[in-house]
Amino acid sequence: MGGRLTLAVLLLALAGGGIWLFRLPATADAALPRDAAAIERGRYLVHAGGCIPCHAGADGSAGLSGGRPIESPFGTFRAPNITPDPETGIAGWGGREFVLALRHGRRPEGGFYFPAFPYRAYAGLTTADILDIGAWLLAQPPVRNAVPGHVLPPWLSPWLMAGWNRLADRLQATPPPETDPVRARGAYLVRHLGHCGECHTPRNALGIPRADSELAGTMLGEQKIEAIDAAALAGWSHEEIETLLRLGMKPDIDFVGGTMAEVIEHNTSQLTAADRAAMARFLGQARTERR
Amino acid sequence: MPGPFLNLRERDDMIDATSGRLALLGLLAWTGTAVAQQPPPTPEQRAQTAVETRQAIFKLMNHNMAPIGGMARGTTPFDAAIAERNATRIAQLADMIAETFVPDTRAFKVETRALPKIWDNADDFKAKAQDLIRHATALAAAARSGDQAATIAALRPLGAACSTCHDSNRAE
Repeated sequence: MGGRLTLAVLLLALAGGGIWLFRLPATADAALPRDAAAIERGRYLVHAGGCIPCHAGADGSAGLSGGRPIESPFGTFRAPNITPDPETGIAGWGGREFVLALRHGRRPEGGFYFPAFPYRAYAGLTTADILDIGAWLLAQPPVRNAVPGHVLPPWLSPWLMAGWNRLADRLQATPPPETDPVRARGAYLVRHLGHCGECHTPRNALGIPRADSELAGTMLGEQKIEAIDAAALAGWSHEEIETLLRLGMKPDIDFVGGTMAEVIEHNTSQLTAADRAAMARFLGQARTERR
Repeated sequence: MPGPFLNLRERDDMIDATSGRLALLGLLAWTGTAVAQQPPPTPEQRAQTAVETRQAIFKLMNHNMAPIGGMARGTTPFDAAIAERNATRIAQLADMIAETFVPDTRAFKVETRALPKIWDNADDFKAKAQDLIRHATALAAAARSGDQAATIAALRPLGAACSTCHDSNRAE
């Protein structure tokens, strides 16, 4: 009798844990806007959000049709096709699908994306911004391109992300709220839309960004990722940070290269002057919160 | 006017007065032996000269880029004449890069950040140099038009062409 009860409690706990881990978060089925203004805002947000370099074609061509290999310590990821192609892309997505993907890292049918897709950064986006991004993506011409799968070690299953996400939630820092509106806008662009920390913040062995070292620089394979926190940029003027974001030019007239040159081209050079100035303001004062 | 330059000139005059003729004779003798005896530069010396020539190109690039960089940053006012002059020079310097890398210095002990890949994969290097010429020419054209926004915007692809090549062909 006691044995059965224990088993029942255990099964219930397992089921409860399973639901807790794997259930899809409740999201309202927000309708995607269709008006020209929303689509135009979406175009801006997709550029500011840095979607284009990673979702480029396998040949490196700029665009959204996917396939470009993204190397990481965990294997090679391939960003999917995010054009509205009915068979190989995201045709038919609505507000719910975009919110699930960008805020929660979840596929429409409930599966998990790998965090090579920066959904943990995008989680801070406003719902309005997510819906505008969706509106613009669906207004683009569909491209038929079946992207091959990721190349990962066999143990690395997307379902592990259920636990990884929970762990990352617990380890995530809650930065103090920004009171200055310009800094707040800069923080939104740096931390969320521009997802700078995805590369510039060092990660622990599980690949979770280290909350005590935001933007402190790291190594990505052989590539050195510069520190861009306030300590690293202490000798930079506001104009020098702004010029780097606009043109890729460093204070010594040298230019940034590698993937950062793409970020400058598709993302930060496309921003409004006000948004770029906000990013520069925030970066110049982005203090690492030591705990 | 007192100062070291004046003192030097006074000393020159003294030397001139006392030993001018002797110096001329000595000079004649020295050039004579130099022509007859100076050996042609060794391959090592030629490699060293090649490295210095290349580095001079890049130093001049930087020298000419710096004022435009200040204008791009907004810390110095835009001066269309200087922008055009310097951008034209940068385009001419860009055009010289590939030829200064014709001497293959891989085998020599020279102080250089140039990586062997430049000669291992010469076609790629030439393509990158060509890309630089294209963007430098575009910058010069934009500067010639006097259009401030277009001139400054042309720096981004030009800089990207610089760094793309540096990333693969220049040591840290």
